[in-house]
Amino acid sequence: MTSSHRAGPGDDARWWATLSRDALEDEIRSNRRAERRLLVLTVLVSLAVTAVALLLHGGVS
Amino acid sequence: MNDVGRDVLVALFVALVGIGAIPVLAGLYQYLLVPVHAFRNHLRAAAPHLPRVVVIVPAWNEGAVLAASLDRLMSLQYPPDRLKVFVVDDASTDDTPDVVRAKAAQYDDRIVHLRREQGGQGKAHTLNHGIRYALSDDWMEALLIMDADVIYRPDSLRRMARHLADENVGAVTAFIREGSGRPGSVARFIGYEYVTAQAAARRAQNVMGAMACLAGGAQLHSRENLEAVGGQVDTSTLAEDTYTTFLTQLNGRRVVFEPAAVVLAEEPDTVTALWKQRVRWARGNVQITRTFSRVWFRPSRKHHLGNLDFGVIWFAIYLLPVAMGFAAVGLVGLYFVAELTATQVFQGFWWVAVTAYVYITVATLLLDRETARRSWLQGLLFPGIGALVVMSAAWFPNLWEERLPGLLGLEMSETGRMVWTLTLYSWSVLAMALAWLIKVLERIPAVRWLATPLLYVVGFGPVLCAITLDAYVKQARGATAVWDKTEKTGRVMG
Repeated sequence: MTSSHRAGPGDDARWWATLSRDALEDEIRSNRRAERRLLVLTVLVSLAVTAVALLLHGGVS
Repeated sequence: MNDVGRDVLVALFVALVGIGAIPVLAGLYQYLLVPVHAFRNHLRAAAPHLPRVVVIVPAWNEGAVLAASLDRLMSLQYPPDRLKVFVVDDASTDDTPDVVRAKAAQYDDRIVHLRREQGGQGKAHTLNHGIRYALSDDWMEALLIMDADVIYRPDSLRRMARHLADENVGAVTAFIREGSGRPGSVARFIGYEYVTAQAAARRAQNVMGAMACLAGGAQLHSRENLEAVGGQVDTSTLAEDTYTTFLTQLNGRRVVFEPAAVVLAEEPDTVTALWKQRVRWARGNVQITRTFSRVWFRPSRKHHLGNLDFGVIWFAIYLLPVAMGFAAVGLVGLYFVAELTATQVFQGFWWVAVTAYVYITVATLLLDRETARRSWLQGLLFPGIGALVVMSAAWFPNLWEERLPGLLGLEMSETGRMVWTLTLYSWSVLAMALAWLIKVLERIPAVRWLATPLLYVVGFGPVLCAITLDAYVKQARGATAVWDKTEKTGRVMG
């Protein structure tokens, strides 16, 4: 299996587990993308919720 | 008292509250660094790399948990001819030797049983026995130190190893996730705490380029690094993992946290067991802070341990119980010399706390959704129901003194108001005292059931503060420093 022949869930994990150089490089790239997605989503949602909380409160009285 | 004396007192008390806010701001700063990890992480320098790895498993009476751990190690997605496991049996008196020998036979001697006939000296000595053996020939290219009771996800080792492709990296650590099969309240709190202390804090430390600690159950060292730190781990402190982490960085090598490498661990599920474990950790941190006293706040080209932000965060955690005490003293003192100022400072202090609480809680729950599913309630109640009441009192003045009693047609007396206000102002210290009470309640069978509800009222954060304070007292008194094993049952999911 190569990176271009994957379709179903779990295919990535099986492909990376082959431990070939291509698979391990693909895993690194995929982990980098996942890290970027996770952290951008996390900061956006966290900031939004915090901003809503502050707006609802209206600042220090 | 004249006006000048009063003004000086007011300034002093306000300053005390300001010091109390430093740990909150440091925590917030650390969380603001987390998203930077999206773009500044070590994965860009990582490359396919599968060195010959020796795994050292220290074991003292680990018969109940060892078989599962060894089976998981043998099913790691890693080339079998590049992986050996040395179980260092610290003179166990249970069936540990039998379990290891059976597993060695099952896995064609890829598992090796090393027996110390004279045990009981602690984990560091046990590790060194195995490390000496591993270094005695040149087969090993990297060494993984783990605990007998942790379970490695199949992809975890190779995800750690890829960072060692960069010769500047000396060691890599993984994300230890709480994974008890049937977690109680304490274990669930620990699960949430691990996301804040590892998944979040260690990402921030990756960004800062300075790592506080390699997780004791998941530290992968290059052979070069292991030899550079002396070919052994420190035996003079209770924090051998932190000691090695610091030595690695002082030698000019990086320590990297890999969040995608996940290791499951069973954690204590009573406050008493937690207390025993964390007092050891906190006393170890006191020893580390003193041993490396020349490192703090002295920037170096070789490492980032001396950077201002890393030092502030280290000491903000280290002195957290003191800071909480200062905040309470400052607010109570202000109440008696300048009541109006006290109200304003109280609202300002807890306003910062509420902002930090909302941002940090939401971010933590999103960072690790598996833990969030198990521990969302413990995440929301991490500061304690008591602290949430204090926060609501700061955000909505008179809520508890007038509005809520008013709904019931009640009115709070002047004395009642004073007691209530002083309780709010001193809550950070009261919570630590109540945390100690939880431990006492757990020991009395008739009232043990009260311990869990009280834990939710007090919160897990104040419990950790109280434990840290106790550790400092024990350290100052020179209490015997023993390596006390945390009992595990072997019920880890996954």
